[in-house]
Amino acid sequence: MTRAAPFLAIARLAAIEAIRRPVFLLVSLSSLAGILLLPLLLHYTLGDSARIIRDSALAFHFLGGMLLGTHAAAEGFSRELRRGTAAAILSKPVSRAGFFLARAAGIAAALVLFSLAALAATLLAVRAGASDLRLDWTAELPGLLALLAAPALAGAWNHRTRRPFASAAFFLLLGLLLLAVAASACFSTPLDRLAFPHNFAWEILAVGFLLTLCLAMAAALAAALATRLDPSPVLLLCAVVFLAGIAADSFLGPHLSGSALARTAYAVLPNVQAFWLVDALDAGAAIPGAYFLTATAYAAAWSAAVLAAGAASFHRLEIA
Amino acid sequence: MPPSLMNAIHAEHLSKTFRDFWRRPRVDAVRSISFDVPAGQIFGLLGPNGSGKSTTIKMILGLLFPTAGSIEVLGASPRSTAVKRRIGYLPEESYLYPHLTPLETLTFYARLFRLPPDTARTRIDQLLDMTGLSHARHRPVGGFSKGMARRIGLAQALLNDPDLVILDEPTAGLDPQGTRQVKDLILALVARGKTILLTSHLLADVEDVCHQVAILFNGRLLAQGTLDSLLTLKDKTTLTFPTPPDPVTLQRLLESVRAALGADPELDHPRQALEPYFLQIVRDAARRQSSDLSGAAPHPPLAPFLRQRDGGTDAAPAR
Repeated sequence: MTRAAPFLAIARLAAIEAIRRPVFLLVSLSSLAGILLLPLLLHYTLGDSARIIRDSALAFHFLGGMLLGTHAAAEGFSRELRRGTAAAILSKPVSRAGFFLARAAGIAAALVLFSLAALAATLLAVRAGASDLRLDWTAELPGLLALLAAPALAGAWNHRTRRPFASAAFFLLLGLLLLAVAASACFSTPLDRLAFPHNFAWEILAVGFLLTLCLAMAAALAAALATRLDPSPVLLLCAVVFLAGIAADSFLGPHLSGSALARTAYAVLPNVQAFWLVDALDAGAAIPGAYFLTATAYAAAWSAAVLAAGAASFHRLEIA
Repeated sequence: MPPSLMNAIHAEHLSKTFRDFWRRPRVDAVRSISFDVPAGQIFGLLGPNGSGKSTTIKMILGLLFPTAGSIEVLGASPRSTAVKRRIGYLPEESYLYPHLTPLETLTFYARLFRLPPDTARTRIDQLLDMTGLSHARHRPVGGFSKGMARRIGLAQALLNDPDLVILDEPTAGLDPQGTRQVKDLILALVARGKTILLTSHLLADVEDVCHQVAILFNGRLLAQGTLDSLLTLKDKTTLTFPTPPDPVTLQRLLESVRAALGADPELDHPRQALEPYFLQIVRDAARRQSSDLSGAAPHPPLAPFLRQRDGGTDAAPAR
């Protein structure tokens, strides 16, 4: 067995444990329902429906992912300590840093799965509501059916096998949404008769990828803070740090040239604006590959620094 | 040979003080205790609740850090992952992921030890058989009784065929058959040269299996030594013989003892222990009714990988 086997086993379990929490399904269902219902709820958009749906869907994605990532990282870690499973695992040949990083990787994997589902729902919703004149049911209907069928099928499976409902419902939801995109791709859009691959706004995926990086940064911060704090203060601190990150350009930008303190704060705070590139889509500009690389490197470096601090903190934590 | 190599665990003036948020001392859980757990023996750590047993075990496992003193486990720091590869630990509470089945739980722990898949599969099957959980291998452990959870906890503690087995209240929640099985298992492991450190509130269980004990109270070590050295009443002698057929013979015997020693002897009939008596009754009843006992069978087979010596022969229980 490879040296990575313990890391992968812990990461996989952390991801599954996160997805098995009812709150994960609840937040996922709420966010995805919010995205998929947008085309049905929006009226009188003056030709701007596609943009409004896309921006709102990405906002649902961001808020839902932020809540899921920080909650799963903080509450999951605290539960491992409380329930004693952390002690049981650390009495095996597993280093503390390995345990901490594997758990963080597991939460990131769960977030990626949520992001996949949210992006599938966003593609369907944007296509369904692209026209003010007519709803595209070939996109809306498969999405709504996936949303309804997943919990129903998971309920039946739970009744039959007694296996966890929440994770089954989430995985079914993800699978059915991807299937819905594939099914919908077989149909042309109703008004302008665009066929695959032009019947979907695929450029949303690029923005979604950057958004997912930002969510992973939030989860990394929550995991690091959870080594010393209870879940509630962790969620509060994450919210404060990322709100400050969103506003950093506005309130720190003017002082960057004159103040070392401002420059330090600007470097430490997560630059959320760098990951919200919806405006670039509005301008019709393609996001350059170099930007993706820079943003990915920034997210990786920021997360690595935060996780290193978390691992150092966990290394000295006493597990009573 | 240095003491640390002869002893599986060597603790010297070990202390642990828990502190509050402001780093002020909150409680002295362990106060300057020193003890050695000799390799290849069963060592019992005894004491009432709050005496410092679990804190000591967590320091041995590297989960808590001593405030003062030092500790060596298998000749190295307790935080070394190489050492942990040779330790099996059964926690006081069976810390399990409730949604995992026994099969998934043991597979997870096998991956932590990086056991080759074939070895892991064989050991998991054998341990599930040994603990009587084969029939429940696909049921989530969250729905298990405390006894069943202990069994799965015991299975995970033995998965790596450890040199040092640390058992925190190993018989808690088990029925008498399960308790006997655990005690037989402990004896079989020691016969293979393993070292066992156990804590228990059930003193009869400790007395049945332990070579040495240490008694903790309020974080302090009050007594330590072999059971013989601690419990034998050197100024008394018991003589057991068949009950005489008539009272006159008995009176004559007592008179001669009285005349020889100048003291009144105590007369009593020896009693068998409750545990073997109870187990015999249950086994007889089960045999008559051919009924399945809940949990493990009265004499479940020991997992073959735990029976074999390094040379491949079976080991018999030591006591």
